[in-house]
Amino acid sequence: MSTKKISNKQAFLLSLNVILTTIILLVPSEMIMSAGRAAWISIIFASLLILAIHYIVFKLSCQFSNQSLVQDCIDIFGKILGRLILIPFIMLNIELTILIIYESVGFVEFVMPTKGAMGIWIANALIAGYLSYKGIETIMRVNGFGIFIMLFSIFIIISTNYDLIDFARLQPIVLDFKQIARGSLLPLHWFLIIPNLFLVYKPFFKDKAKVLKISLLGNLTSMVIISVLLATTITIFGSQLGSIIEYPFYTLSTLSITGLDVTVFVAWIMATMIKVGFYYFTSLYLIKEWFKLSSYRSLILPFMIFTVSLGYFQTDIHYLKTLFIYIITIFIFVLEVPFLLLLIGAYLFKNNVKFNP
Amino acid sequence: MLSLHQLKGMMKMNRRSISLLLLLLLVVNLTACAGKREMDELGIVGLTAVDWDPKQQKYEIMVQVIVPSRAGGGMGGSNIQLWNATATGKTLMRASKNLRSRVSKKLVWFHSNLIIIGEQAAKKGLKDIIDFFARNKEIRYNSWVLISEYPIRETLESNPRFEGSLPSEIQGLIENNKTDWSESYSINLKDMLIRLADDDFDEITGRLTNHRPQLAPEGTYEQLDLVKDVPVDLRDVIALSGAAVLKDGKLKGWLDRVESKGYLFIADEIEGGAIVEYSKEKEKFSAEILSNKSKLKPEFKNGKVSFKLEVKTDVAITEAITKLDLTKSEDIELLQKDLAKEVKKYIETTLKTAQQEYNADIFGYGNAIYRSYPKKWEEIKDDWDQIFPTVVTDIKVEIIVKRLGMISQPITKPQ
Amino acid sequence: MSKKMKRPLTIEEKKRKDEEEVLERLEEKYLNDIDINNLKVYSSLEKNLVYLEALFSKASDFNTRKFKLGDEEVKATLVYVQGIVNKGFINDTILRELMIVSRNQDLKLSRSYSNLIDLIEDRLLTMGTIERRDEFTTIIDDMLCGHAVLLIDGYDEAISIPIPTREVRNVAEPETESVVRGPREGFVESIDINLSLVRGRIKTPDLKFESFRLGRVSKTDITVAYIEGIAPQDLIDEVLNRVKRIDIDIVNESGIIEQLIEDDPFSPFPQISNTERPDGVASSLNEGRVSIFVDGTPFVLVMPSVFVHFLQANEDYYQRFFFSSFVRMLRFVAFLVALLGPSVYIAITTFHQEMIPTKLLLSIVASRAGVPFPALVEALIMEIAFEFLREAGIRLPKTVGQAVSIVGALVVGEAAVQAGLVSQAMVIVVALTGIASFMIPAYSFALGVRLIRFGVMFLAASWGMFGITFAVLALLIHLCSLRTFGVPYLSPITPVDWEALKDSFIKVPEWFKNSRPSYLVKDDNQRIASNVKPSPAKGDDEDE
Repeated sequence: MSTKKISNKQAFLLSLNVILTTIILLVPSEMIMSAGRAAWISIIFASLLILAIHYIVFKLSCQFSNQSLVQDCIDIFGKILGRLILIPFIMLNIELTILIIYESVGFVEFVMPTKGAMGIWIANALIAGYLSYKGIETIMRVNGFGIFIMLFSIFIIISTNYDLIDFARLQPIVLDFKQIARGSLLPLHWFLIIPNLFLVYKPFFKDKAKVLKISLLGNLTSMVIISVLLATTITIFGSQLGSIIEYPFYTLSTLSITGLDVTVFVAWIMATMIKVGFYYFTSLYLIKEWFKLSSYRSLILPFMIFTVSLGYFQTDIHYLKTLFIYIITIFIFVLEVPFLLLLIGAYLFKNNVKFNP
Repeated sequence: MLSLHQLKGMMKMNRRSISLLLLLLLVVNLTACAGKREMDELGIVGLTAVDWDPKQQKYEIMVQVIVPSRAGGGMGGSNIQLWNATATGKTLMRASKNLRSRVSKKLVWFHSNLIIIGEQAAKKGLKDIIDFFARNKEIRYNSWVLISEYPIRETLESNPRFEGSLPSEIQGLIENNKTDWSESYSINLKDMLIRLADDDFDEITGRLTNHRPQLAPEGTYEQLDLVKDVPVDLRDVIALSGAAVLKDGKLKGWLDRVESKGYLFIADEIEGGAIVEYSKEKEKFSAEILSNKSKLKPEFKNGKVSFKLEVKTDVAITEAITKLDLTKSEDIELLQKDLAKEVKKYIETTLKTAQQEYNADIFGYGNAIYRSYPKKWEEIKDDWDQIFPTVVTDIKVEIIVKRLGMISQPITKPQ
Repeated sequence: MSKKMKRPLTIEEKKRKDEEEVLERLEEKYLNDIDINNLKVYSSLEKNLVYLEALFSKASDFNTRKFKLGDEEVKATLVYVQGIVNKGFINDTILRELMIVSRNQDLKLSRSYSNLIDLIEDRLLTMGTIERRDEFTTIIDDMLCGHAVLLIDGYDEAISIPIPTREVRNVAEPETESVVRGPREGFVESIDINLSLVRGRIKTPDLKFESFRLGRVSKTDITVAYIEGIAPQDLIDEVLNRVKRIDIDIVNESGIIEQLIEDDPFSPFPQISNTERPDGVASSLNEGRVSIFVDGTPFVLVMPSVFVHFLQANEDYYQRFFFSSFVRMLRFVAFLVALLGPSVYIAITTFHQEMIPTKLLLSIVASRAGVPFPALVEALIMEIAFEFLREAGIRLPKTVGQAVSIVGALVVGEAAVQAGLVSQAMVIVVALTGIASFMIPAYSFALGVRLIRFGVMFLAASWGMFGITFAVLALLIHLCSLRTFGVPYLSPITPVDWEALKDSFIKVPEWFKNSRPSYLVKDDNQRIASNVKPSPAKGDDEDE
């Protein structure tokens, strides 16, 4: 279980998948809505910010120990406090898991209107449960396929829509920092997943020193890809239309070749389901560590039922969509960033103690 | 007892997989048939047309449904039946529901590439109609939006000449216009949406006319010889001619074919095939455009906005009845100047019509100002309707003759 | 017992004594209860024969040939099982030596031998191998494997002479894997011939054959072959371990071994490949794989076999690489078509009609008009009919089989379309799927694909493309987690091995394939010397 199983390449693909799948499905229209033409700049902004945080926290964490995040916390803060501090983090992970299934189900419902959303929920949970049952090694391998298919579909969309691109629509580039910051809230949230996940997966990496560099590279690569995609969307739809279409990237695929949209749908839903899988694994692994269980596998079935039932009824509340940006803001500033800062502080403190006994 | 025990053991061993399998079956049952459409239940909508009936204050929606039937039991030998259905309603949705109530097939729109809007509906305003279409997932954003000069009922009743169905006939016309004759300009739903969403852009799209041979509208071709066996009153031919100008989604008027060509020059939308023609005394010239590059630039002088339009065009001579010696460079230059003057004339006509007659910023003048001078645009944005008709455009046309055709010298001199 | 006895008793006496003794024992434990384990050969020939005859009672192919040995006319008997020993050998050599030659020769020599058996071994029997046995179990095992056993009166040892014979097919072109270009020899049912075919291709002492017998009843010869130094030791150990763990009554075919040693018995995909071609076995041994030969079948197991191996054919290596690469990619496409063909058709026609170009849609709709079933049922009817045809065609004699396929494909298909039961489009799809599944070179792999197809069809009919994605993803997860003898099943693809990818979906030219696949071979990786890329001789350049 705790053997080192994630190679550097796989770590890179992991950091790509984390960001690409979600941003492609969800973010563009809302980002364009809040950041307008400069949406692609907000991505760069968000990515660089997280890059710095990720670098510091992961480096410190690796210096501190080789154990899992939970064990680190227990070592630093003590048995009870350490666990208490982790509760919001674990809850956040579970909440994110549900949110991602929600996104993917929403996308499926959008593409092929059915009445049976429940079935899609269960199907998603089944795949994710199966994937997490197979363990981290399989997840990483499947993820390689997912990313490959996804990048391929992105490439096809851009290349087939090439003649629709009108670069003039990107002008004028007005650097309105308020807008950019507002637009970067959402991507900030998703980019934060990289440090979170990498901290959790720390004991699995084969080569920690390289993984840090690789994950930074992954961060930058996904930044580039997403900015390119955002720029493409804006150059084709303009910022006004781009912000009101629900899935602008997907709509791009309907413009060129007949049938491309369904193919793209398959690629994206695949990548998203894989992502749900490794969120399952993350949550289960954290829970397992938290309770110091011997294996997480027995948790899978209860967790599947839990996520599906909770998610299905929770997300029926429609205002989630309208309040999304506020929820995200609260997540970032109340939970995620303080947690990471706390970790940075704790690691710094502990490392200093170690260095100067 | 033993076998029961064994069975229990087996059950225990595979309990998880069995329960998962059952779960999957349940899920499949839960969702089975949702969103399912068998092929033979489909009514494939080939085109959709919307019109407004001012007397009844109702929308009229009309679709052309393609119903293939099995003829002679072969896949190739399918017989296409076209079937027009129409319904009215206070809102478009009402109308389309009324439509469905009269059709036994499930209407599906994803193969409908055409949205035809009647003149009355266009005058009332395009925004409601386009909103309806843009919201519908089945409508593709690359569907063409055209405005019909005549009531849609008449338009849709015309018969396709070359293709199996009217939609593909119209589509062919649009494609041809792009590459071969360039005297109309059609935009698709996506571009229409962009223009409707932007304040600094007004809309333009293709005009669909119903050509009846007895009263041929200007510029359409006679096709009588193709339709000899059809009674005279049925000889309706659909044609694309010129463009419709809209302002804020409301139809203002039409551009004729020459003006449309002028528009294409300004908007840099010529892909080729357009001709420039002129006759001076007894000389006659025509040239086909090989490639064209137009540049539109706003300039601010003393707080007043003006535009600079630079057109660079390569042409090939297609007709030359002239005294000029086309092998001489001086004569070619003379010819180039004459042609340039002609192009300039097209552009001026178009500008005049759009600015003075319709006051519709179909060229994206406002947009161009916004891109280059976003701050100044904020100042003049609100008064743009007053400013636009007064904007002066400085036009520079440069024409280069690239090819003379297969023969370099004219065979006949002008008499 | 009677080992000290130098000179036998008189015939009468001995006979009586033996019979008494035997009858005693037989009374004690009746024949069925005789425990032949650890039972030593008696010095009394009669006694031995009574035992043997009792053991082989009602076995009509058990044969005893009694004769007298040498001038001293020692009683001897040759026992063997008819049919599995070389009869000519017994008649012309063994009996001749023992009955005639012994008579003339032993006078002088016999004195230097105190033991007649030594004499026979040293001077009389001109066989390459003979073995001396003193236990009944080994004697019986030997006899059942085609040995003739010589029992001599007065000696508690027997001589076992291996002269197995068996009616064997000639080495011929393998029927399941025919090639346009490549060797035309195939394995046969005899393990010796099969091993010799491989040995003939790999002439190194590092090629090891580890043999043993498996099967309580069948006592089948099994040989595990590998090249020492190329195949990783842990793989060899694992294979040997798994094979030796088997305790089964009968091994008729290598497929039985395969089912007993594979990693995941519930996987639809085979993890061990089988081949009839010696060149295939030789090249896979050279890739560091291990093969298992089973006597009595021409199908040799090769392991570990990963996903890409099942989409490769031997001929790929013999043709020029452009075409081989093209064919390999085609096979991969065929794999996808065979797996997903009908399901994609169902999904598209019932859920995603927007994917079909308008004109095609119109003709499909036209062809479906009047078909009373939903697409799923239509597909199931056709698929099952196709499976009927295929299975019927295989089991029937070849000539009839052809008739079946003609009747099935042409007559039934055409009639079904005419009657409006199925649409032409569906017939095309099903036929294409069938052909695609024939494109897969490995039959066992194609079987798995055929089966999965039905499951995917149901998912596609209820969820459309989402169902197909679900199925594909589940398969992918399964494939990614599957291992065969410690090697990940999707090996050169993931975990990525760029060097080995040169020989997966494509096949690079031989001079560019520098090393053996590293997911199989750990140490000795060098495959081909560097700088062997062919080029014209230096002086041939016309420019110079």
